[in-house]
Amino acid sequence: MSTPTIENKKKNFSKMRRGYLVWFLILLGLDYIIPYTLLKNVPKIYGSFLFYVIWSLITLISMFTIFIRWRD
Amino acid sequence: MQIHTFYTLLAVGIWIIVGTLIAVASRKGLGKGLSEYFIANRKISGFVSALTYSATTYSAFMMIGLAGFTYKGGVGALGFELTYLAGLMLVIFFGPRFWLVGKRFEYVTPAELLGDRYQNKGVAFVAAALCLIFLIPYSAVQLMGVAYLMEVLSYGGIPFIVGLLVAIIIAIVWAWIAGMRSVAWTDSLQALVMIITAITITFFIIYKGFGGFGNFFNKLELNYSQWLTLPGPGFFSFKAYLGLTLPWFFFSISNPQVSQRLFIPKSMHALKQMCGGFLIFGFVYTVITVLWGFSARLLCPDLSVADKASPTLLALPLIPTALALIAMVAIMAAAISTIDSIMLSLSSMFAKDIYQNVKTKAREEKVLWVGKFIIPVIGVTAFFFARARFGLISTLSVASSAGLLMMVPTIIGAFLWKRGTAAGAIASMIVGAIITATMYITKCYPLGHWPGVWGGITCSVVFVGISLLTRAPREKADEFINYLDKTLLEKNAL
Repeated sequence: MSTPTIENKKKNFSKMRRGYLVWFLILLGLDYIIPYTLLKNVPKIYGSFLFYVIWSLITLISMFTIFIRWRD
Repeated sequence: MQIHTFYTLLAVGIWIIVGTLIAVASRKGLGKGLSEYFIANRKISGFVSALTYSATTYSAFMMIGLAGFTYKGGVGALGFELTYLAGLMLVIFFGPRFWLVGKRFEYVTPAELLGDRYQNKGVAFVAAALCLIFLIPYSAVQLMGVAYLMEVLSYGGIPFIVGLLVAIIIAIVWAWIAGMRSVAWTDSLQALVMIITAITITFFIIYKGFGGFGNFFNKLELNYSQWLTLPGPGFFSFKAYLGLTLPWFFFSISNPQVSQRLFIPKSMHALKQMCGGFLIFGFVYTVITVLWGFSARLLCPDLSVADKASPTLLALPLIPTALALIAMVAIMAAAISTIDSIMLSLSSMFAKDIYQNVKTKAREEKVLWVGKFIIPVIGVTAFFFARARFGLISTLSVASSAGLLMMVPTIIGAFLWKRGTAAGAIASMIVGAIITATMYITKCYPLGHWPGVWGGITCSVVFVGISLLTRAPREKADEFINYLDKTLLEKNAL
């Protein structure tokens, strides 16, 4: 039988899963939208180039926040 | 001319000797059985897992193809490859699931996982066959890349056929010596060579060729400002960007040589190190490759073929011969580490998911023997594909990631949807693959969207539709998914 703590943890995980899913979908949306709209007419290194680098670092850090908690 | 041939052979020779010594050393303590040979008995450390994952993922496509994309299309190439890297979010989610069920149910191949989960050997058979169809031409193109590179850098001193032979023999030997152990160990060496060389040469080009990053970026803005925007000079239209990134985003779970590596880390901690190490490696390697492409754009602006960007850059007088040769070895390393991993993965699937499903009573030793026997067979097949230089090879190779994308609904369904069925899985993989391959071969892109997009939509609809009309293996689905739900909580994995 599940203890209340496990049930709580399940609920928390479920919430976190949904939260991360929404966050990653937003990030992916930005990846496809920003360079083709806001930065379309910015022919500078601080335009799409810098956007992709920062976008990627934010995505990577978001992933780190998930797998850093894994344990044996 | 002769000097170039001599030094090229010398560099390749040293690399072959060092790699082979490492492969032989990896045999120490090699046990018996399929699991030991094909996935190193799930005992690979986090560090080696990260390096083999990186070396396997990044093929010669990076330094040749991605640099060429940058040369031709500009900054969109950076977005395209970083979108692939962002696809690692699928590994962050599905990686622990692969690893846990792999250990619990003793899966050796990703196709075996699907066959068992859907309780149907046909699913494993079709998945393995799809991988064979799409990945052998992909390997052939990698071999061709190595052979061309040796031919160009030796000024024709090393003929194309010799380059092909060298590449395929190394790949076969390194895969055959100790299976996953020799592949993972040699991959580690190759990953280190790839990243260290790429970083060194980039700094060399930027400082020696342009006088620093500031000047480099200024020149880029001044002369090729369009290359810093999207769609840029035209190559990366939105539809092309979507068509290219969609299959690549799912690469980490659809390509068996990569997803099979989710079985090998010795612990969750090692899996964690693998993910972290790969993300750092991937980010650095991607940015650097794109800088190579931009450098070639500035230093050699008149190339007729974009794929020659990197080789031409390396042949410039500002790069010392020794460094150019090390770079050549690094590009070869990227290709070989991908080919031997693909061959090993395909041979394990042929043995487990095709041979053993037909010969159900075959003993493990016999299945392993078939697996080992098939490694050179796959290698020789790829060699003849490469030698023939069929037009169809490049089409199938380009189609490979899109073709393997058709397995994604089946894979995601296995972990998350108890209602998924074998009939739905088989139909979606076959229909999706036929649609994608046909579109690539006939060059028919309805509404301008790429085959991966249409194939992906179709196979998802077919998987869900047919699953709802057929009977799901409820008992196995419950056992599989309930086990994961419980264990993921214990491991603190989402």
